[in-house]
Amino acid sequence: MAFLSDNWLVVVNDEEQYSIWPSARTLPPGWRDGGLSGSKDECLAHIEHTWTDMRPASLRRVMDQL
Amino acid sequence: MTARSTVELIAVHAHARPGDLAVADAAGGRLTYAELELRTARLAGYLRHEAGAGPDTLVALAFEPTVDLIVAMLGVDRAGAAYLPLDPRDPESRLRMPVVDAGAALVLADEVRQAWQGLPVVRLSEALEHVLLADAEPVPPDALAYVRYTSGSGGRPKGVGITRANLAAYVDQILGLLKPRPGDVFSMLQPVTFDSSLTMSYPALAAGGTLWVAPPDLAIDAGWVAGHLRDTRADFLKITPSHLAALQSANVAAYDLMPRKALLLGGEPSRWEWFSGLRATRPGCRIVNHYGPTETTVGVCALDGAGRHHPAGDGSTPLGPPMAHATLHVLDDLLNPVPQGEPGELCVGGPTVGRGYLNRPGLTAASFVPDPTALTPGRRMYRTGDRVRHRADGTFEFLGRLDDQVKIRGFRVEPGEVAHVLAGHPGVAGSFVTADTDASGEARLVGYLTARHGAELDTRQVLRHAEAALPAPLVPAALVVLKALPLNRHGKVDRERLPPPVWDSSGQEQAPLGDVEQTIAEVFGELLGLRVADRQASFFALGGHSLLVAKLLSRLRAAFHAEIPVRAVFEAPTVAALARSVEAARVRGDSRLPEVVKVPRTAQLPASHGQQRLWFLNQLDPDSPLYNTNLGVRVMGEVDLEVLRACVTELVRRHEVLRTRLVPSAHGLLQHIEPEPRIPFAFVDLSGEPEARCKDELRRLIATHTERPFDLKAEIPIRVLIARLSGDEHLLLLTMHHVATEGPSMRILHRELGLLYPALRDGRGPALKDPQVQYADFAVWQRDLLARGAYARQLDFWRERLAGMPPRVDLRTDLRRPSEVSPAGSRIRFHLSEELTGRLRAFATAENATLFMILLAGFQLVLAERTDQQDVAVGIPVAFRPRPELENTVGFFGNTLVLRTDVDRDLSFRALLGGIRIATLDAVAHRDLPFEALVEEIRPRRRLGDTPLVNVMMMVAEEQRPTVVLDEVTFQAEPIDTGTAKAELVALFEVVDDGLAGELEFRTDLFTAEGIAPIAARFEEVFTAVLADPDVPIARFLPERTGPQALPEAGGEPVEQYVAPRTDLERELCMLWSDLIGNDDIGIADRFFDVGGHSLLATRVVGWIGQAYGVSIPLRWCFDHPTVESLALAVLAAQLDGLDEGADLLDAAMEGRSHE
Repeated sequence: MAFLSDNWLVVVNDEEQYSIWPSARTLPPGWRDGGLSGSKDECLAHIEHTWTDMRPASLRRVMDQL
Repeated sequence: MTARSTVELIAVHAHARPGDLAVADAAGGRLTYAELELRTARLAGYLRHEAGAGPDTLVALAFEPTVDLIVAMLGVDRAGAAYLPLDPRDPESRLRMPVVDAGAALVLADEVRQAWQGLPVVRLSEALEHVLLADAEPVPPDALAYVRYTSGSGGRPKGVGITRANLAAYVDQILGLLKPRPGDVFSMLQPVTFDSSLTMSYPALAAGGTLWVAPPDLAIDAGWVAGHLRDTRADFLKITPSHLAALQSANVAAYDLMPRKALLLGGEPSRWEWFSGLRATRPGCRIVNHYGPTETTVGVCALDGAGRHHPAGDGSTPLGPPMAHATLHVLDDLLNPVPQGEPGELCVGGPTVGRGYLNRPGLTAASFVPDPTALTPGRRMYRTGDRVRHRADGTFEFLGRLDDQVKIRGFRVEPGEVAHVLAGHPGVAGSFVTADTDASGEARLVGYLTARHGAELDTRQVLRHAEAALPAPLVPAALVVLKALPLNRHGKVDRERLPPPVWDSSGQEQAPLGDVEQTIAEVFGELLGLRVADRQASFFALGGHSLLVAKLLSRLRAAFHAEIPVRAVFEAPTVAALARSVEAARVRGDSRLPEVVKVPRTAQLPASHGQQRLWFLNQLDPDSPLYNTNLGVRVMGEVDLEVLRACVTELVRRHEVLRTRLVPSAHGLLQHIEPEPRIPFAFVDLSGEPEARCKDELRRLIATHTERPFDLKAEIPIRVLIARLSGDEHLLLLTMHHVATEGPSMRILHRELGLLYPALRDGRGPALKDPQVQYADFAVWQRDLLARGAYARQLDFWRERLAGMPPRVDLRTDLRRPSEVSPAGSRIRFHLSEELTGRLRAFATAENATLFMILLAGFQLVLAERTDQQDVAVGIPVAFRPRPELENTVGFFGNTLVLRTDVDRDLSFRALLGGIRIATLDAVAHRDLPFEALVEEIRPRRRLGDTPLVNVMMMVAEEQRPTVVLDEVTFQAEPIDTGTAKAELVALFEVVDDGLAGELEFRTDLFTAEGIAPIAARFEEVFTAVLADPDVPIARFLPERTGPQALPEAGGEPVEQYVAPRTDLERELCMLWSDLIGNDDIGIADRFFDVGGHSLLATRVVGWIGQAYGVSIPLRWCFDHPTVESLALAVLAAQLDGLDEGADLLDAAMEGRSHE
């Protein structure tokens, strides 16, 4: 974490969609901390493993009822 | 509120207008809304009930662009599933990869392919046998609508997922932008794998319009596209700029490539000059620049070209402003907004931001990031990777890419993906791919390779490897083998040090054989920017691509005057094979027009439209030598005058038109061919005179010879003067009326003279074959075509193009304009240096224009000295033979084209030239319609002496008449001056050895030499100035506007009121006019030319009066006595005159009456 500019945060929204956000900036509304900060590559590698069902959560719920 | 889906809207249309045409294709497929609804319901039924499809189920579609493709897309949509489009023209591996990568449940196709072995494949026809229909059930808006694969930098294409809500929001925006009405026609020329095609497909059907789909090989055929847009009356067209530019360069009129209501451009940047130049191409057609990445559903910005001015910046067409549904941000690396006007990355938010990349969480998270300004919390925005600058006017200037992505003909390409594929070839150790620009300025891919140790790399094999794995736009245009890739200090490939590609020959090449192959090789070379030395070289292997085919065809057409079908290029793309296609096309001739055939000479032979017009002018002004043309030949050497005379006699025998009189009849003007005419010969011997006297005498002789008018009814249109100047120098002067000749005819006569002379002198008899067909055959052919409506489309074009045109260019004259302008004229000569001419040619070539076009652009600026008018029409005389069998036929094949230009002072010279280029190509494409037929149609108000439609003309002679040398006798063309001007102001240019010889010809009733001389001098100043600064508004080079200063005219136009006929003669004349003109409401005070009369009808009035009343009145009377009232008086007077000669008769008649 030598450079602020390298410091990103894994973020997630209510639809359980993952993304990254500069950790120095306030989280935008509707997003919460996804539990990891680090370089961009580290964050993206984390997401690659964590975000396994890419369907939005609301869609997943509807489809599960079908 | 969510917009209604297209499928829902189609169901509405199927109820409201079941029989309306919904979808049509180029193979003849047609579906009404009722049929479309039924088929999509059946397909959806099959997919849902048999295949278990539902939300997020992917169905791969592999269809030729036909109605079936649209049924398949909509059926999947209706089943609630998502489609994955495949291009059936892609290589097999590419047809399989996305199906497997995306985990598609099945492949729906029109043909089962090897590529899908082991995967479930269903033919559409089988699926449509399903009888259980599926209703349109609600589907979650976040479910996928479609997935489209796009190039991926890591060597792996990525699937972009777009939801049903995304698609509905986009379609809604397009409906708002285009405001289509039911029945409007949308033309989809782009493959369905390209999301750009969605701008046409869904909105067409959502609006209740008709969607036309066409395959790519037709979409690059400019002739086909023009015919398609015309025949379907297409209202909307979406196309990439490079595609449209390629079609435009194929010598199809720009107008014919435009839809009726809106042209949408997208997929890649374009130049503003080109984009804004499209605006004037078709009145009423909007031009929209549409921008957006696939990830945010087709498009998020729309720039309506109307009324926008030249933007500052690098000259590219700006993006934006954003459409109502999208929010656009310009951000830095850390997603902070940059200050207004600073460069940054364009990020897009709003309801069309897609779901992400299928099964690629990391890649999705990196590109789809939180949108802090979104109204709904938790929304994402897409980082486009496009570097832009937000401009003050709300648009965005495109500055380039933040990564390596390039656009090849609108197709997104990650060079990394291509390099990855190249590296997959077993002989390749290292690879690097980059884009450069080809000879025509389009982006192309170049691959650099290093060979594996010990391997011999054959680039052709590597290319075949790439072709087997990649879609066509991703295949490199050139491959270069290097010992090692040059690296910079950071260990990355140093682009600067990569050598430019050179065509790598195998050493087994065969040189092109013969003229045709040589020319084709040269054309290949020009288009591809390389030297082609192998007759077996293929256009595509050399780096040619589909859009270049359009240009190739146009160049071949120009070089060989032959129509070569697009298919020929694809099927046989080598130099040698194309040469065979050219030969075949030459034999076939111009397929659009029927062959000119010999007609029997026993029937009545009508005059051609050109003859008709010139005869009419001749009758109006029987004393004018205006249309006398002269072929002066200086014969050097010892000449046998009897043989020379025999040569001329033979020319007149060979070419019927030189011994044809034109005689009016009630059926119109007829040609009377004299079997054995007496040719007027004059011979003078000046050889004994002192030199000065000889010259004076010669000048006087030429003047009397050339200025004596022809009576075309009574005389043949040629007379001959032979002057002996000295023992070995003679002047042969053939004076002919224009009705029988023009420039190319003069060259034919001149050439034949040179061939006949030695043949006849040596007693070998005529050495020439008779021409295949004669001018009279052409006249019959032309009348026939016109009667059959063959020119209807051209007439439509001209009517639309000339609508609202001012009656003439209002020139500030030096003298007060008389009520009747005589053709008397004079001329001022000027010269443009070889150096300036060279620069003009170079600038024109760089702009894809010709010398003629740039000279006309300059003439427009010079004209501005004498007019403030912005809407300027210039007449352009052209001479062309529409069929190859007319090549050796002498006669008047001339026509006048009207080039109307918007001389907008805010335009740059470059843009003005662009506009003129389009107007010229358009006009040339519609050049067959005889000018006379156009005048009849437009019926401009005119007065005696006015040239119709145009009063300013320009001509450029690019060819010099060659000197013919045979044995010791040289036949050298001699310029002959007559004291007339063909229009009020005429600019003439002739290409000469040291540049351009220019002339301004003017009518001396209006202008003086002192007044014209400064204008002539302006050409050089203007050209020098604009070439130095071609991008500033032309206002800078023009004089200040001075307001209307035209000198007042003598006379005015009276107002007519209906006055009923009073006498029998007046009644009969009124009826005759009504019949001829087709206007029932003609009174005796109406002026013939104001109520719809025209020259052709005037001829028939004269012929009819001759038959009905036994008096021959001159045609001029139709002008001098323009109303029935005055004409009736004149006819009566003529009858009385005739009777006067036999006064006894009259007296007897009077007496007889008095006795009763």
